[in-house]
Amino acid sequence: MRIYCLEIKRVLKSRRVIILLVIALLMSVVMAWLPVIYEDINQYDENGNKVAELNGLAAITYKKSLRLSNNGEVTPEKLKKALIIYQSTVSQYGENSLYSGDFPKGLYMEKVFPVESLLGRLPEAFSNPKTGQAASLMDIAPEKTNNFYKQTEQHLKDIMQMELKDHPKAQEQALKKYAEVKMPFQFYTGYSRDAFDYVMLYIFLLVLLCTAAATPTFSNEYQTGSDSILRCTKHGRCRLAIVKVFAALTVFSITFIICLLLHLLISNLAFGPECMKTSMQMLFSVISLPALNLGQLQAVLTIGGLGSLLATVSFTLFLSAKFKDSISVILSAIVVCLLPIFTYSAGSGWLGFILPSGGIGMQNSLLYQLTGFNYLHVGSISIWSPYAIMAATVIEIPVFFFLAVSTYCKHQVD
Amino acid sequence: MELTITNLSKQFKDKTAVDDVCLSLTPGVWGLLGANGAGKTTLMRMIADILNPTSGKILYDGKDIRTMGEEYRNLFGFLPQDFGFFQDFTVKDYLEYIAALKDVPARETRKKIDSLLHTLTLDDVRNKKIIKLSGGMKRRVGIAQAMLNDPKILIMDEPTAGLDPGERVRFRNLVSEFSHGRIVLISTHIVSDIEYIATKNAIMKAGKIVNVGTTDELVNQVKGKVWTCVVPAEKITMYEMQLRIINQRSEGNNQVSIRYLSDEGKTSNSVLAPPRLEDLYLWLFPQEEIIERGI
Repeated sequence: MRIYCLEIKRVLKSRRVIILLVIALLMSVVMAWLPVIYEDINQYDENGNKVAELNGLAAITYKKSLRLSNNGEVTPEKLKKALIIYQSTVSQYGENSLYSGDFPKGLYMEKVFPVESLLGRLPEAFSNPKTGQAASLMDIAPEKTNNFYKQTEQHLKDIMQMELKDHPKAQEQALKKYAEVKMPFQFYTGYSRDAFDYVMLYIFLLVLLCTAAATPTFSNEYQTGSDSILRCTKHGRCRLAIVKVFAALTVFSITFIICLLLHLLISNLAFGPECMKTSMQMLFSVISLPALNLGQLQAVLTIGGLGSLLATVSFTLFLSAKFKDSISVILSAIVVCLLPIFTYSAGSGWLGFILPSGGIGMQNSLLYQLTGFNYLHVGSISIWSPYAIMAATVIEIPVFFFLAVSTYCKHQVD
Repeated sequence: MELTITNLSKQFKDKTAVDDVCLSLTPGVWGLLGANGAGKTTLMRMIADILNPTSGKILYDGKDIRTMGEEYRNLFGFLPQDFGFFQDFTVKDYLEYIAALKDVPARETRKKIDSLLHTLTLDDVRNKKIIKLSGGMKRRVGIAQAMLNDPKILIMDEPTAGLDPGERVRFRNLVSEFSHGRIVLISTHIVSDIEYIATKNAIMKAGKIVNVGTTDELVNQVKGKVWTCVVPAEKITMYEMQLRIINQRSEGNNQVSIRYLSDEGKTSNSVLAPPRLEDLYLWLFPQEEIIERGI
């Protein structure tokens, strides 16, 4: 414990670590605030004349005030009523007028804007079963909303038929998982989907910063020669290596948790904490498989992100114990961090999912895997990509931990 | 207490750094002398168990040090030739860290650190970041860390590099005092650092131990080979080419006094001089002599 405390002290006294941690903290605030300042809306009077241009918090508050009545359970009745209002209002001018700018602004703000977000998932749920193309809100008969929740299940089956035709096991798993989703959905207006992208982006940045900070843990000591002194001490081999890895994981885990919680706190306070009760199916795909609301989704992303961080840092520590040159270590570690993004873009998702940084990035990230239907097929077994990412992480943390320790112990001074 | 090195060799690709070394180290100060590349550092690293030998064994009281592990390292103190520190640590932080790794009890650590800092005249810089210390101070911090656990075996590779003459004297006294009942092995180029404190010396050349003995025993080998004479200053270049001059000093009146190594006197006014360990060193390592003289 004494060595552990001193090692923590050493890590926290390192100028490089201090700089990276300060950057992480600053970016936590900046990246939480960015989606807030991107929010904007114009305020119109009864005659449709623009009276104000609102941005940031004011825009969020105003938008929420217009949509407040929709908060709560997404019942078929509520959907039906909203759809009738939408269709009756829009039909006078034609749906194209909404996009061309010909639709009267005042009327839009009074009738269409308040129901738009509530109806946001209907086009997807009632999409063409053969092509998957989203339906127009004007083409959905209001009576059909009575079967909205049955339709979402049907839509899932249609999508499964299209995307996982040859994998009945995967289809079965998906339907089973979707059956756990709580219905009717909950919807509390206000939260921005962009904010979730920023959460993922911030997690990615945190992992990069912590990777950079972890790089010199062993390699720097090889390079400076201080290792020769340390490994001649009684506890300077296996115990020191274990302590060093533990201390690094502790410091970076705490950093990750504090910074991400601060980020989420700012974001949630800005958009409204009540939004956390919204079912993730109302913000992302209506057939998203996890039975989570936005608050729970944030918790899962935090845990998943922490797992990816620990796996990536463990891997970096292994590289650090293996190579003397810090530059080679940092370059290799950064390449591994970025690799899942490229392999996913190149269509080889499975490789990205099993890498230590598999859960972080953009389209390959845990968030988008939770909203998608990527399955890894090994023989007759199909594994949903978020499970693959988390399983790989759980395996990799102790494996790279062990490899880092044993590599350090076996290291020979040259 | 005995550290026995048996047929120890280390091969690096095409170079044999240590070649079948046999040496038995007993309590006292041991000087390890040898030119650059003689294999001293490699030998010390193997004794420190941070480099595996290609063949051979090192035994501490009959037990293989590689199987002793922690038990051996607990008896051990090591100052490498080139070493770094945690740059953002202060001297005190660093020594506390090393003391914990050496398993020095927490309650004794402060006392031990205070004592070593005082002995090595580092009291004033205890709270200074190591990065801000001079080379000599850093070397002394290195010496302090090596002695923190009162090691039974203390190995120091070029410990006096960067120390000024006063610090060298203090270091010699400290080592001399410390060495009672312990094995202290010091490698150095600066022969005078060990000449008067070494109980025994081992001389390494091309990876082999070529000579072992007390300073007097070794010095005896160059007895009758060290000469001094006075020569005209204008002829010094010629003498430099012909003789292995160890030292030269201007005597005024355009005369230079020289000290040189030779089996016989090379000038009519040459007289035999009492040999010193440095003379033996230069006798054994003529190349080194040339380098040191800057020719």
